[in-house]
Amino acid sequence: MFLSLFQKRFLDPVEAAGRFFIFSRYALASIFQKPFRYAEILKYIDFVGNQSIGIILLTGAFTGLALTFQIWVGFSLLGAGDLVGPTVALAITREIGPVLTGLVISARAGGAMAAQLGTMRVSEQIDALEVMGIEPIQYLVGPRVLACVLATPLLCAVFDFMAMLASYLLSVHFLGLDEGVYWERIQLWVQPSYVIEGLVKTAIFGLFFGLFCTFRGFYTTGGARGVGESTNRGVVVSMVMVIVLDYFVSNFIRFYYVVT
Amino acid sequence: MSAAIELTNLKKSFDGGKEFVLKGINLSIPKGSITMIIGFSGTGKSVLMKHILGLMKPTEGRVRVLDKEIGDMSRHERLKFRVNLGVMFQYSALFDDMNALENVMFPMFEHKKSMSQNDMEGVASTKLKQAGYEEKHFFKLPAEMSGGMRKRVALARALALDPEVLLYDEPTTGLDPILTEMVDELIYDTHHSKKGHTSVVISHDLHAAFRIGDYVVMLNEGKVLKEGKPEEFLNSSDPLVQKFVNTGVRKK
Repeated sequence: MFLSLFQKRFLDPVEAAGRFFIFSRYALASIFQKPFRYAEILKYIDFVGNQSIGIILLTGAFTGLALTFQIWVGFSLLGAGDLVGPTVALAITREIGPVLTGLVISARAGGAMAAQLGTMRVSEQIDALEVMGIEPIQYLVGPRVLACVLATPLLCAVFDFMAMLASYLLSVHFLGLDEGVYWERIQLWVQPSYVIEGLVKTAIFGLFFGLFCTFRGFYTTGGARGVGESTNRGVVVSMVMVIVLDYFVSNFIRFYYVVT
Repeated sequence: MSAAIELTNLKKSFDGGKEFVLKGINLSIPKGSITMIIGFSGTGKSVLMKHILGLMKPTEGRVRVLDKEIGDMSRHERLKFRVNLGVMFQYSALFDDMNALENVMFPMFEHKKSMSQNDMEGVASTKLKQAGYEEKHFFKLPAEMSGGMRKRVALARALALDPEVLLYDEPTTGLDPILTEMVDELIYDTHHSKKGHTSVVISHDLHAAFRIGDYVVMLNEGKVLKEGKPEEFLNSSDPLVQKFVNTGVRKK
């Protein structure tokens, strides 16, 4: 009883973490191995990046609007309406943009990747690749992970742009803030490095959910139920880890600034 | 006749040795024959095939395919070696996002990079026709194909690189009698279309073994229960073999 509980609560997660680590090492090494899968990489950049632009534009716009309105309500009570622009810009570029992009893309693209690979596993397509003499991790996982690392920061940039555009339109054209002051304050407060910091964070989120979702899909067992479980677990863990990683990476970046 | 595949004391356990799925299999599959590996469900037939393909590591014992020891190969060597093996999977395992022609061309894209696209299309088209697949369906996706069409494409894909050994994993399971006979004929015709081919068919259909098999191996509970020519199974006194042989015979 105690042993089985110990196995379930402690040993199984440790074993799974070990397998994930080994899988990640193979997957990352496979990106740099020949033959380079340019066509596959472009296909998945299109899938992760291009096909997510609509949802990112929509999320970005409404996040920018909601955030601007709430900050304006609070700040205008204190007579600090001028600070709405920079506050929104800081929040969007450093935290909200990267985190929401990570969450949205890990759910959309990560979930789809886990489901695709899971289906390929249970329908023996991954075995078929292997018996054809093709390294399945190199063919299936490497291009997907690289696409996530490259496309997620680009989507974050789109999110930031859209959120700021929406914020500007609301602030200047509906809430009556001064256009010059709005942009001048943003220029004063927001450094280009903050934007880059956000993009670096999303690349790390992309790396994590790319690896984790493909890992869950690749080792799916148990037919259709297994595919559902892998997708669910892949998405849930990825989304939680985006938030957890955000905290640690933000602190690491702060630490880096202090040291340098 | 020399052996294409040799298994020596092959054992496999998935739980650290508590229970064995394969319990010491010694088997020699002759070159150039159609060997049927038969047995009741859950006797370890598919596990055995995965060992031949090097997809599973034996707990004990040796697997030798085409005079090469699978266990001694590195992962990379194993991948390269598998070009000599063609496999038709139970549920065809066609790639969902590729049409019939692309599915058959895929192994050539990976292993015959010197071939032009036109040459690949030509070879793929020949293999598909050889498997009895009609040209008008070449651009259909697997989701748009019938069960029989999928089997034909899977066979054409297995043949794409002209492998020396062809393995069929339960090729007729779940098919109706007419389709079953069609697949059996396909296996037989494919085998006899090229001299020196070795075909291994994993099946639980003894009648197919009589129709197309040169050599039959019967597994039971992870061991070889009986091996020999199909006729020898008819005259066997082993009750389990008799039970298997008489399956489908009407009781009076």
